[in-house]
Amino acid sequence: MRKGLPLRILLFLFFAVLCILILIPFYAVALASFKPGEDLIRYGLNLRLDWSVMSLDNFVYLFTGSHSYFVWFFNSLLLTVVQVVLTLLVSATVAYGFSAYEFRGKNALFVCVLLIMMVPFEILLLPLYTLTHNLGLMNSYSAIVLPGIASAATIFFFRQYLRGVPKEIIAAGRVDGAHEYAIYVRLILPIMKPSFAAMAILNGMNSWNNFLWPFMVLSDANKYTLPIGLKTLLTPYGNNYDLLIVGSFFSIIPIFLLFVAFQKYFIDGMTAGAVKG
Amino acid sequence: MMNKKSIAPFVFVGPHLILFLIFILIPTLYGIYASFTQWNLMNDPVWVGMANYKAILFDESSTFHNQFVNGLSNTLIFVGISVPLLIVIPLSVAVALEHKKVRMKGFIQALLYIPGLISISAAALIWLLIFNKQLGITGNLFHSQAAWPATQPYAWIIIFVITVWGGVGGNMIIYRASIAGVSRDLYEAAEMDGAGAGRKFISITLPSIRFPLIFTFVMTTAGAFNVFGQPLMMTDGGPRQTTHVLMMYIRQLAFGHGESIAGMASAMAVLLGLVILVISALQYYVMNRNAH
Amino acid sequence: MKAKKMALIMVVLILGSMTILAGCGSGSDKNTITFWTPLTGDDGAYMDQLVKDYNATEPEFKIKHVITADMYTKISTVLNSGKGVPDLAIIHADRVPGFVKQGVLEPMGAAISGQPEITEANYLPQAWATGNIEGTQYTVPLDIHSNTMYYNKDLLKQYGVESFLDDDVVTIEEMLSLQGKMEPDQYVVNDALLGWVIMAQIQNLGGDIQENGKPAVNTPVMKQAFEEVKKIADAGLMTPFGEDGYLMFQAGNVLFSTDGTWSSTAHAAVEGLNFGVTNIYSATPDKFTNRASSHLFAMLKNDQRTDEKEAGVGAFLEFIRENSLEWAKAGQIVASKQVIESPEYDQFMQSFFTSNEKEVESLYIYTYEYYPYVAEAVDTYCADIVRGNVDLDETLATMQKFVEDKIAESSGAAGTP
Repeated sequence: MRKGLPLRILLFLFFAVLCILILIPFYAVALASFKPGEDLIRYGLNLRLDWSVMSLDNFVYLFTGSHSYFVWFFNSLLLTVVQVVLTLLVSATVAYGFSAYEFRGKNALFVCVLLIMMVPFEILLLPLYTLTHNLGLMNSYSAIVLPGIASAATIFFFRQYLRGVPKEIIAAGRVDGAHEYAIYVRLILPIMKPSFAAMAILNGMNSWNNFLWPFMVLSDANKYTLPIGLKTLLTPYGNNYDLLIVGSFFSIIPIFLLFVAFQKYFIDGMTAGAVKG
Repeated sequence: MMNKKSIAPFVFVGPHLILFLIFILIPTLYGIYASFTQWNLMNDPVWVGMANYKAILFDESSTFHNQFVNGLSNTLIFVGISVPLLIVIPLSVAVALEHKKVRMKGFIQALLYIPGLISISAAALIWLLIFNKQLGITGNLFHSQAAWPATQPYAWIIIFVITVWGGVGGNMIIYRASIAGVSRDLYEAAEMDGAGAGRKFISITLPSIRFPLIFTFVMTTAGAFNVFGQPLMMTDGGPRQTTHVLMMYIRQLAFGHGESIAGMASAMAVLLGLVILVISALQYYVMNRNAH
Repeated sequence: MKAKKMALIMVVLILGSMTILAGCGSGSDKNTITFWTPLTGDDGAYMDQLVKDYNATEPEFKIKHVITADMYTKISTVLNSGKGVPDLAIIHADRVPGFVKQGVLEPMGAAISGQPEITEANYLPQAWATGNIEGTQYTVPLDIHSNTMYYNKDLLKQYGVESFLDDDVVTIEEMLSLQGKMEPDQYVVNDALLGWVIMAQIQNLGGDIQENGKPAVNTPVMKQAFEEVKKIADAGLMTPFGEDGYLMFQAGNVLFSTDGTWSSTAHAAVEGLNFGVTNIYSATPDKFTNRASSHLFAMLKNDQRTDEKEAGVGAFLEFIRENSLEWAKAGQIVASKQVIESPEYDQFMQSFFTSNEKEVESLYIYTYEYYPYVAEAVDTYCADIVRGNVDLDETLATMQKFVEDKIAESSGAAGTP
């Protein structure tokens, strides 16, 4: 084991530095969430453990105060879960359609979809807004989820992933007389599991942080998602730092725990894909 | 049987296609149409032909031309520096995570992913406080005299710091998933041939994850061109508009004070879209070619 | 058959989530007045309370208060499509000329005809006048919110300059007298809302930002306004560039803070900060101005709004006129004379601005049609100009072009009536 020692030390240092850099802001936020907002104003963000000013007041405020933090939180959660599930299902279906079948205009269609995907959202923004209005979908979550499903990035990823799946599997399924859909569900989907994990995480992150479009579409304060809600705490008329800091800190905890808990599933799923190597 | 087969693909592709048509294609076409008009959102657009484009591209004295040029150059600076960082760093971490027999793999992975989940307002607030001359860690601990958001190159530095901090997790997940999928046999064979760690990386790992690499490269670049939140919240485009990216100008024209100048904003967005398209196509072409 | 089952499940799942997701489209209740405001933040809560109190009086038409982020964009779209236009809205003073020119505001006459007390005489003059375009009254004011200058009582004492407040106007000259006397890391004034301060100086120096409808930005008076304020920065008495002057004032290191009437509650929450309120500093000893804006009730053109509903709007506005003491808690200068003349109003810090004629006059609301563009130009460049980072003449020319270009693009030039 001596041989590998320098490398291991290097790696250890690398990770140590990385983790410290990532952790410093968290530590600062965690600390700040135990101190009153004014402390932030007077002394700024620092790493001092000053027990005299630390208290659970902010957390009490978080759970009992009259504000909508948890409304925002659960709205975000609901929206993210629905968005991710629907996007993955639809995208996988489409990707399969493109890779398993030949039909006229297939390539042209795919390229077209891809190109449009590159377009900055701002081009779409105003016309989409008007369209949403005309469809009567304003202030509804459908207005947020539907355009999200239509996005093509996930399809792109799945399609390429499926390229590595030998066509023989599908052919074999057809020979067995299986229904087209059965082939998809029982043969292909399980193979795609690792890519599902990666895209679930990616889409989850995008949906969780999605600000601009929900901001434009939602006018009912009860439907606000977390990014919108937190932004309203910073107004030209005064900032609510107490809630902002403790709210941001709190929003990390459950997600973090979920992530750690599901680590095994993701890793297993990812390494299962090694079979096709 | 023939009929069944020829319908099947459309059943798979159809629903999405409809959604795509309604929510993406048609608005995009309308948005492109809007770029040829003068539109204040309240009334119907008024056709002006190429006037917007002429002003942006050729009229040196026009405010909009200056905004476009300044915005695009700043955006290019951002893209040029942040994209390599957001590819190389996650890749290094993913590779290191694979090799080391570290127990905390999952934990570290989760840790790196978390910054991306914090809303940009809160994250910007925290980082601004860290870099604050009076109140922050840079001032108190390291005695830095700089007013970070207000001087170059510090202003750019803090934007890149927050961007990398929040962006590393996403790509890293993808790389880890892909690297995990590379067969061990390949590595063992290479080791038997006497290949060292570096050689293994270049000859086996990189080619095996070619697709995810291209995918993240293209997506990260397109995303970087659309950057808006970090410069707005960290420096508000300052100092002296030197970090004022194109997307900020576009948003201000469309949703800023006074009447909306949506036609001009659309024109700038279309031009930005063209730039992204060309660069993405180039990237895809180059990376595909190298795959012999 | 399992696959068919899966397919069915998927379809049900998708449809199910869509129905869950489908928010109730805005079903406008016949007897509800939809009321949009841009009041995200604490003041929205006060308006909520006022609406609640009004609804508790069992009026014929109840009010539904919708706090709308990004309200002006949404207004543009609903006006364009004609669907979902709110019955009543709160808009800012600088939007009125533009909206009237576009023909999207309904005159208030019909709504308030049944309310004899809603007249010019019962409101602060400039707040009422802002909604009056060519003789027609389009708005009823809620408040004036103004640039204001807070001072740190302890610091004033420490430097022995309490006399600055004597004639209610702190002049730039007086501030300059502290040059060289400040302790390190302490400053005389911060750069909060610097753009507004500049706009105020324009009035103090007897100038304006428009000439016959054309923007007048690159002018001698604008140059002078900048130069005067620049003197403070040159003397090292202004908080440094890029630092948060607002926070520095709250931390007790700055004598004066030029922020707004609405931050009095935030300052009051800071422990150990003894502060008072006065007028924005001036370049001249005999005139002082506090640049202000106003929240106004307005009705956007809406075919579905019945005459009875308009009368209901009037009733709500009368209620506000009598009861907007609640609104004063948000730190705003209430426009209703009945409220500001009541003894309970004196407890609020902003009552300073209605304590005498001269104070009321100092609240200046710009009503130029293209004011938002001018303000945007000033806000963009003022910090750099005052710190001497850019050439003044060049920048003034750039700002003039900026405003002119934007005006050229707006509908004013496109030939719409």
